[in-house]
Amino acid sequence: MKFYKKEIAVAVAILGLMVVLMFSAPGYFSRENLTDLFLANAPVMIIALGMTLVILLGEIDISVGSVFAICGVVMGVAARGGSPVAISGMAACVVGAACGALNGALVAYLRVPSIVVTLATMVALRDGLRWQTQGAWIGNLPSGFQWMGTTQSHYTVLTVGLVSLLIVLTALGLRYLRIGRAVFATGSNRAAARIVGIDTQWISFFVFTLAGLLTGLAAMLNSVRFHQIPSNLGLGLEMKVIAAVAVGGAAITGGSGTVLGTVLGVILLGAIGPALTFLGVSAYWEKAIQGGIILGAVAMNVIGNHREKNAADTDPLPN
Amino acid sequence: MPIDTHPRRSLLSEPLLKARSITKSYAGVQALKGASLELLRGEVHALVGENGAGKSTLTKVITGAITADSGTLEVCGQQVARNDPSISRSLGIAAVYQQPSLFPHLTVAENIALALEGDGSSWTVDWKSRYARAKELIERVGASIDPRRPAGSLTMAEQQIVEIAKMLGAKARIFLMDEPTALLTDREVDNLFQLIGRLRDEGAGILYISHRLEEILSIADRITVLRDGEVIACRDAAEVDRSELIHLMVGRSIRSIFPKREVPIGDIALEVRNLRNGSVGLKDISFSVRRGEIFGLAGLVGSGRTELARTLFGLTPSDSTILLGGKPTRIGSPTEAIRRGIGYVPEDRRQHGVILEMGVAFNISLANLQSVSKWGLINRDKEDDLAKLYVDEMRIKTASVSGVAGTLSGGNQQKVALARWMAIHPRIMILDEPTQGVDVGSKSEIHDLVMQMAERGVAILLISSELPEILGMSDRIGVMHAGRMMGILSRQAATQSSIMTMAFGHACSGV
Ligand SMILES: Nc1ncnc2c1ncn2[C@@H]1O[C@H](COP(=O)(O)OP(=O)(O)OP(=O)(O)O)[C@@H](O)[C@H]1O
Ligand SMILES: [Mg+2]
Repeated sequence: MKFYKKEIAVAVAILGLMVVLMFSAPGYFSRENLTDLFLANAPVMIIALGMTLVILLGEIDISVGSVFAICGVVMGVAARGGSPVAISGMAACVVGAACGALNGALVAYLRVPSIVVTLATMVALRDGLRWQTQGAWIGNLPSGFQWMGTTQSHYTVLTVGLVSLLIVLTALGLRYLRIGRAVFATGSNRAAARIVGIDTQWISFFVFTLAGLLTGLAAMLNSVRFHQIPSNLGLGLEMKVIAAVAVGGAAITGGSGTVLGTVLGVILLGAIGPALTFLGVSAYWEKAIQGGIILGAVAMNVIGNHREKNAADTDPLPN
Repeated sequence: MPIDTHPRRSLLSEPLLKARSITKSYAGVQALKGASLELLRGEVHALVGENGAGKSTLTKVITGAITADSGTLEVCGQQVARNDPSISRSLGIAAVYQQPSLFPHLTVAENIALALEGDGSSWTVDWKSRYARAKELIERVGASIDPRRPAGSLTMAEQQIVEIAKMLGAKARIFLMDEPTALLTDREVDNLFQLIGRLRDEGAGILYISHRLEEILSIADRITVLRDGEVIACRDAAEVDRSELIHLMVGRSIRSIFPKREVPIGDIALEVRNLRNGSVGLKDISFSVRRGEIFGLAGLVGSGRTELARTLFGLTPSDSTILLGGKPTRIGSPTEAIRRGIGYVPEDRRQHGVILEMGVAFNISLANLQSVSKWGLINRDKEDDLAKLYVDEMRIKTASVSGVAGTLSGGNQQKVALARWMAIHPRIMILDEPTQGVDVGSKSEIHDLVMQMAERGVAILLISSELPEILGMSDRIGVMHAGRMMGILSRQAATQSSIMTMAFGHACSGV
């Protein structure tokens, strides 16, 4: 952990992929393709930041895909109703935070396991949305909806800026903010964290709410790219996000993981799918290969962990 | 077992266990530098040394929990080529590790059964005999713990007893005990020693690690001293005395063990009146602690001392009134307790104390982040300075302040847990077994630090299973039994026997 072993492993995998592509499919590195890739993965990246915090706490949030869909639809409906983009965007964020807060309250204060809570909200929110929209897409958006009329390249620059800012803030926050400490302490050992006066319930509530807020923000950024909003947005998004965080080396049991790892995880998983298409791999194999890579990366982490554990054997055989 | 299948005469004089030139290094630390040890039949062999000397590492090499870098291991004259915990168990080696490692969600009986039944047992579970067996083994250690309780609900001392019971149940001839008594009180220790005596008479070999030198001198036949991973000496216990032993371990002489100094006693800092807490079985407890006073709490394992500490700290809140500086206060959570100037070093350092995955500095600053941060932003340099201060002052053996706490030796982890709470400069300090697992040298340093706190006017509540520590440090001593305060003795009136009488539940004419 000290020397970012896991992160380096993922970075090496990314580099390897790039080298292969460089020789066999240079078209991959065209400007349009890279921009496209980035824009498609920006929401994943933002949600993964929130998920990193949730996983550091030793919890999980599988409702992000449904929350993402609701936020997108809310934004579209608000915009169609005549609100300015900024206001509808804010509405998306507020709804995201509210969903997160609901998850957080149930997990923190009613002590329901997060997998149960977010499974329930995932299904309930998704079905509620389907019932409300009857599966219809949100169209007829005002003309200014696509990012206040700015051109696509402006949008890209803005998104790059925003995503980078969020990454840096999350990383610094975890490292230098007291609340960052509290997240690590709670995720590593809840009882010990409580004894040093950390309000572990509040921390859980806060982190889930923040994750919801980030999901809303991601939904907003995603929506303004299109002139229609599908109501089945974000299907399977939770798996993408969780896989990226896991590939990035965060321990599902909490207390260990880095923002850098998550960023690399998102890049690796985001880059691979299209790369396979570029390399001419049949679509049938694409998912299987992707799965194999996730498995490989996670296995590498686990093996690395075991090595460390054997050296450190802090568990299960204590001093 | 090799000895049964090849009964050769010469084997009988062979040592049970021979470890030769064992080396083991961790990233940056050489824990063992060619240590050798022989364990004979029918002997209690004590292993002593400072915190971090390599004692636990050596036991773990013997049980195969870790693999040595080099060196050989022989059991009954047969070389052990490959070792792991199940192989060592089949060779007749049973161990109690320094820290209990029970499955918290399984019951006591299941934990014991898991360790003992293993292979060869039938397909079905005979619950009745499981419970009976668990009960019997625990009674042999001289305790009574309901075998149906989940292990996670036991106090550390009770868990330690279950670990000992587990070890006793194993069919073994080599017993390794790594600080089995760190949390036990006299009664349980006496029982354990009788058991050890019986095992020795049956021809077993016992390797016994402890920092309580009185115990070592009373039970050991031979003593091996480790220092910095090397064997410094191996002596007959009859040949050495306490001070020589200390000198061998530490390489220097230690001042008095209990540096009790007279401190002006101030106003009442903490007062408890008729405290009850049904959920943890506390009844009608009244006492007070003044500024500068050290109030000792004695009692047997399970008498409610830790529960009282947890109640005062808001972990298991009660409705009873607690007066802080004369003002009635309700402490509903640790956050509130800390805000009111109460510090608490818990008994169970792995569950509640140090966060093992995190660094030393992270751990030391954790309860006191506001002193190293501004507007919620942590100043890492300041944090490291704070940690360095305590690492130096308490002589915590670690490669650096960012070293992972879980890689420190047990005693050094304990010092980290203490440092964290010293750093908050509390007005009232609750210390639950503050010197468990700490070596003699550091123990006297910790006692000195506690005295310094008292001199600064901190009111101290000291829980210890080690009577000499309680007697040596306390101004007054409260003795608990079954959740009640049996009486409070003054420093002058307290003796080992008066405390023990009360601890067994007999009222005593105290002061
Ligand atoms: N997993 C590990 N990683 C790095 N260093 C370790 C690890 N385990 C032990 N050490 C180091 O090895 C040395 C010996 O540790 P060990 O636990 O054997 O000491 P000990 O004699 O049992 O001490 P104590 O009396 O405090 O229990 C210490 O310096 C410790 O920090
Ligand atoms: Mg040890």
